[in-house]
Amino acid sequence: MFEGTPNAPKGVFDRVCEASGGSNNGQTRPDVTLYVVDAPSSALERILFLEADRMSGLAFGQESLDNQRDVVKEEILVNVRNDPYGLFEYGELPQALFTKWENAHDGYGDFHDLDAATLADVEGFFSAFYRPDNAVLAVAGDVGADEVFSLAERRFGAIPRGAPYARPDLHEPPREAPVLLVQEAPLARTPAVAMGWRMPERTHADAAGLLVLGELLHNGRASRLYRGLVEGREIATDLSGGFNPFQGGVWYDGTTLFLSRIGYRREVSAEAVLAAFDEEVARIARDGVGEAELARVKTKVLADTWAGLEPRLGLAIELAQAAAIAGAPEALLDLPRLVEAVSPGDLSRAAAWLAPERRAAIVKVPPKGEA
Amino acid sequence: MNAPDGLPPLGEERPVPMPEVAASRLPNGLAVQVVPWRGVPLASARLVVRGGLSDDPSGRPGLARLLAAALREGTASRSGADLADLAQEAGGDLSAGAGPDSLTIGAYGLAARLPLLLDLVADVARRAAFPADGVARARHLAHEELETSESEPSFLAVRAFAREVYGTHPYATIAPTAASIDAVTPGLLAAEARRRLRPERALLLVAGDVKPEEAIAAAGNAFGDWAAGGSAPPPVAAPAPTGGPRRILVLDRPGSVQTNLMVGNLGFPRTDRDARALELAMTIYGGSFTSRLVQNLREDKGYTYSPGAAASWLEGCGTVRSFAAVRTEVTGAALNEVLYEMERMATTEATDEEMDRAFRREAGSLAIALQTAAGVADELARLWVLGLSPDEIARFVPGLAEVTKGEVRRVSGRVFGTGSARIVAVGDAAAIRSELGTFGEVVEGET
Repeated sequence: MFEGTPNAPKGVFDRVCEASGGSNNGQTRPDVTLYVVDAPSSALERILFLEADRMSGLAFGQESLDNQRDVVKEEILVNVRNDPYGLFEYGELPQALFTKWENAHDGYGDFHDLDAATLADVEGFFSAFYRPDNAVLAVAGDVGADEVFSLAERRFGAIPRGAPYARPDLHEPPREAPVLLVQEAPLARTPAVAMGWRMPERTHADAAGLLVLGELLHNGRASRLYRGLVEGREIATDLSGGFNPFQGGVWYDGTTLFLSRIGYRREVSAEAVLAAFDEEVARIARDGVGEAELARVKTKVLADTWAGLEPRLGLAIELAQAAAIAGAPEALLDLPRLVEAVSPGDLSRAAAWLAPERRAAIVKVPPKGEA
Repeated sequence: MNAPDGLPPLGEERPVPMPEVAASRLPNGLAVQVVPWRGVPLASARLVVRGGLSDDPSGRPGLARLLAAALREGTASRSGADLADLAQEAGGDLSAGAGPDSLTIGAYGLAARLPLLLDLVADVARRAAFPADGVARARHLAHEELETSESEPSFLAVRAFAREVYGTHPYATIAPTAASIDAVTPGLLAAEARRRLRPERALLLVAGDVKPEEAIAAAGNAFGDWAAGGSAPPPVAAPAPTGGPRRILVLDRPGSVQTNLMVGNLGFPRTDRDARALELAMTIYGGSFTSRLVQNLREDKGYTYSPGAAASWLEGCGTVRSFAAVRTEVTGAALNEVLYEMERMATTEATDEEMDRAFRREAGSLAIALQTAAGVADELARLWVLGLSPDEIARFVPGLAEVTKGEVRRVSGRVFGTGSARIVAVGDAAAIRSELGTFGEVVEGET
């Protein structure tokens, strides 16, 4: 998609974007691939022209495939092999947690997979998925809706639909047995654990509770894990995670993961960190959460949601995900109501999804003697 | 560039809304800037105080960062947990950080809770208590953060590059050391907070869905009776070039599959008349995806995934740097291309197309940055620290439009001198040291 088309050869898309004051990028997520442009509104028509041009057909060739293969390999070198913790929660944890290939595989692929990719593979993928009836165009900013609709019709209207295809069933029930992998990370200096659980479908009654639980556990110095593990037991050093962390909100197909990543002190064992985490979750499952604390966390979730929608690109991405996954951009507007409705009982039920026996965890420890 | 057939022209240029800054000053000297910025029902309040890592006493590297880290551990009347709970209740977070030239204490959340947000910022700035247990924990976390950072080659490169460029100036230090972390005590932090956090050295910035008169009144309530005690830190002189010929510092990271290269020079302050020309020059050289450096190293040669270049502006100086994490085996080839592109900027003129593209990219970037209240506040804070007025935001694009190709080439000559460049390479020293020796004097250092 970044190697050009017959009419706009390689580099033209980028140059036109930047010469119009904007920038462009792409991102592969578990359920959608995003192609984004952030630019002054005067560039609208030419951006739609360029996007429609590349949806109409790419300049496939061995050279462009080889070049992008090298770019992805460089990306893997810098993001994975030269990173002390590698792909960890992004790539390794899903492989440990899920069974179905669609949910489990590492989106980068390894060098062997990349070398095995043929032009026919790439062309087949493009013609199967990169077509108007499988895409959402979301535009947010200083533009008029009528203008955008008419430009979209003009630029994309003539691109043919693709052949129907069946979406795979991505559901996976909770794990029945835990997984714990312990690995030495030669470039790491401090240990860390990433743990994940399989989540129910996005329309499940517990989804909003799980979203709020993710915040209650991880978000900021008022969070339960900060209080319990960084302060309190003084075993952890940094925390991140939550519900559906790689797409946000409730935008996912089939299943997603609930993630908790904890960096911890070298003198502490991974078992102690997992046990402390389990105690904090069990306390929520058993005692629930007080009204005042729950109200604070919900306020924070909503304020963070607004903050994410303030940049036009953030708003466009959320609208596109809501439309692509929930089938309607208006679904975005349901989120505040779903969050407001979460009760203490919902959080107890959500906490039950994070049972130790359903967990997959990967522990990365620095080489011995590095301390 | 050959435009594709049928490419539509640019549409009508819409005006970019410029922030309207209500500026005021409290009798105690505290500057106040309020920017109403509607869109979402949020507001941020931040206190920016002049002097950051540059004010750290010699022998106490990184003290400003340690001070910032400990500020939120509690105040005279609230525990650290109380502060965090209240910030969460307002829908936000309380933050504290240190940069080369400033300390910042900030809170964001629902605009309706602005008085609480201001109260939290004021409480931390004026009455931080540095409880012994909180300071001990902050010390421990600082050790862990340092350890984690030291496992990242990009951090090692940035830290070493600062030492190479700034020499003995305080800007040479970007992080604490294990020894300076151990030396931190509650008494030291309390004395530093008194010395540094003072109204006449501070700007209170409020941005978001607020009314200026209400925000200024709330600022008066929270900060009006704030009085400075003791003497302020002395002024810090601007750094001087470290001098001497090109030098390559190699830091060994055995097993590294890449080399993190950083190449650069001391430049000049943002108040210099060439500053706008430099912004354009950097965009053409390495500051955008279609820039020369990115096209050469990534798109043409395939040496690296994310090369780039940037000018950083500090009080009294500026620095220009290029960076790339490249495959170990092409380390020398990549450095050769970086030096070639630097020299090309300084010796030949940019094309009209490059000039126009860079101008539009810079103007568009500003419009994109000004979309959010936080973006506006970031820009205002940066300008204030550098001694520039908020009007600079509105003057930036018209000023860029006047820059000529000749000025871009001349300013490139000022900052892209390859003969005096400071170069840092973090990677597998055994694999890269001899190759790098062909570019100049190689010095090996401790990571």
